[in-house]
Amino acid sequence: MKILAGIDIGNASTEVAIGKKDETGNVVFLSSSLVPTTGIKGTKENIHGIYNAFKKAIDKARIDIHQVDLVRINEAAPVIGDVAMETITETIITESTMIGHNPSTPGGIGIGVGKTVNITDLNSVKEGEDVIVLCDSAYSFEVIAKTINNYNERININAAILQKDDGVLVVNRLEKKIPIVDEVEFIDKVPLGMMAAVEVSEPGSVVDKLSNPYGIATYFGLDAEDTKKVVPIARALIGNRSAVVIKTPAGDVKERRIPAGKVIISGMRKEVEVPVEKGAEEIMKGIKSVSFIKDVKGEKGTNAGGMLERVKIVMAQLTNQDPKNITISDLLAVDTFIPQKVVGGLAGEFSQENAVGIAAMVKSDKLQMENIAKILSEKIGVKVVVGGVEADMAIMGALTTPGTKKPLAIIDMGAGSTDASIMKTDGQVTSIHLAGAGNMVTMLINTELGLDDKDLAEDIKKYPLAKVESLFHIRHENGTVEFFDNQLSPDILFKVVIVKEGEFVPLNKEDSLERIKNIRRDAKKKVFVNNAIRALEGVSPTDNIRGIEFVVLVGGSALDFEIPQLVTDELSKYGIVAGKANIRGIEGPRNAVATGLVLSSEEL
Amino acid sequence: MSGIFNLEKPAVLIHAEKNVDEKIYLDLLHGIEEEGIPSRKENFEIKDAIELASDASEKSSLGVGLVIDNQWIVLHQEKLEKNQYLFKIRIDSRPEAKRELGKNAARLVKKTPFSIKYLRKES
Repeated sequence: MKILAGIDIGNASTEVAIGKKDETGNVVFLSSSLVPTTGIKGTKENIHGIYNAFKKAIDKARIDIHQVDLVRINEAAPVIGDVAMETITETIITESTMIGHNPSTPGGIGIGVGKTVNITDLNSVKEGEDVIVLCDSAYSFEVIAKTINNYNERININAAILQKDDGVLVVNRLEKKIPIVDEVEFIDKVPLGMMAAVEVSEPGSVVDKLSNPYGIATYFGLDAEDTKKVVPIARALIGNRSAVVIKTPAGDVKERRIPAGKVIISGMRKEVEVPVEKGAEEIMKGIKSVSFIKDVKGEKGTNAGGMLERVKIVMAQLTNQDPKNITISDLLAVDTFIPQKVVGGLAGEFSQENAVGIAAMVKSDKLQMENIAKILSEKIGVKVVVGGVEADMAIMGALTTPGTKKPLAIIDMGAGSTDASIMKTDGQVTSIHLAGAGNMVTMLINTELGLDDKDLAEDIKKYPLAKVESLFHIRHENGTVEFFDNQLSPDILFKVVIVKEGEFVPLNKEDSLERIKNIRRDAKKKVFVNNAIRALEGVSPTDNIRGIEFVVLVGGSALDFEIPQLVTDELSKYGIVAGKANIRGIEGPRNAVATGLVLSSEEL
Repeated sequence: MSGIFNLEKPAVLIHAEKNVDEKIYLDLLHGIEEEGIPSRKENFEIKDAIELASDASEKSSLGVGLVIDNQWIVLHQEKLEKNQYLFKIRIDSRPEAKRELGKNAARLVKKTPFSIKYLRKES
């Protein structure tokens, strides 16, 4: 009877399985453990995490370190992934021409057109002229309302723009109601003496005149040529409850496509070039058209060049190699968007700019697994060997899932990469490593929601949402209501929260629960559903994924509360039975490689 | 009274100590008004706003009440225990804080998140 330990070092977690093997080769598993990986996979920094995971499993199995006869660690696939993002459009307002923000309480309803004039200069306006009055924070709502009421007998004040949040208060004190946009932070930058239009829609609806290019053309008397130019303005105002458009002679809003450079995909036989600004779909077509990727480069001196260069430098540092020797073996590009402050905006407004998110996979020579095995062996005084190929081990482990049989394909959805392998009836294994996994989902959530907080994005990815509907109840994202005996904190009242292990983390954003949920699910689909299909195409003996019957999902991202369902759902369209693994009938989708390492030992 | 027999217009109810000049808490009323929610004020003799905090909210058909005594302004919602409150600020707090407290009373009705930019500094 021998005691064996299998240790699997992944990008995000280190897992251990401990088993007892008798003379006939039967294995009984004693315990397992999981701890976060310390340092980057395949580096010396892993030792700390490995030791902790090992110790945890030993204690659980109630055995002593010296009773362990052999430790097998995985021969990690020599691939590491990294992610990057490149914006490909930008909106620039060259002269201030619009205010597209969304104050929570604008005043009045309707549209008003006229020349912009400061509240101090109403005296010099000619009789009967149409104006829009600008009032900075020095004026109280009482003074503003009184002034407008007084002057409205002589001139036509058709709308107002306020710096303070006083729109409703002013309108309530006016004899003739006008639309008012308030909370305009940089009111001093609004040009004076220019034609402008102010629109406020009814509560519950959105502006429809200023968000329509022909609407703007109607109010400003534009010709066909100028109407073309206002399209970006109209577009930026879609969905707002209130809006201001100001026409300055030189004024212009541009939506510009940033020349981001080309990515050059070199394969065995050919080389394909795709300009990044064409978007993810074109890049992926390029990737697909090259059957065996030798390297992917970016055009020198462009953003694409810089982006891929950065990935290579990071990978070179991690693996102690010369950046010149680092080659990219796979790349996943997805279309995404980034909320960015409009250059020249007057109220700090944002526009959704298009971007391309990229995950790259780097082949390094060989990770320092032998070295890690040596250090570990010295530390614990037990023989440590580097076991079989990771993909083979994963399939061996996955086959312990009840209801599976050969031929079986697995998709290992990790943090850094998505790997797939298939084991034929004769035991032969084919595998593939693809760029893009959990880390990329986090990046997409982080940028699309404009969070600038990786940890928060990670939490949004991992946990479901809820809306705090009163001091005593919340509504979960699936609609179920949960009541509490104790009062909830007013700080989270009416906010969208992340339900994180019984704790509520408020999101201080105005985005609705639905929007956050959609962004989260889309990010997961873009990465994992895409990659699941790419991966199966890669390992399928027929190049057609319909040839595969059973697929088992393993790895950290298979633990996610919705990723497995999204993948299962998509693969069922191809007639494939796909689902989360349940290693040894108890572990769920974790511990596949560690289990495989124990089962496959031939050293004893 | 409640239901169809209640002929009062729905409003955030304010109970204010009768000897306190309305000018002192006008910002509070403006905060409610800017959010587009009606409010109504009744004057009494109020010794302790915290103790009486629930009186206004329970009487308000919107379930939201503000109680003002010589020193404090307290925001209460009917679902809370009698002696608890959501926010409490000194009556001589800066105008922005009073305006914000009024806004939050209205937001309690609208079910939108509170603003606490100025209130945080007062507590």
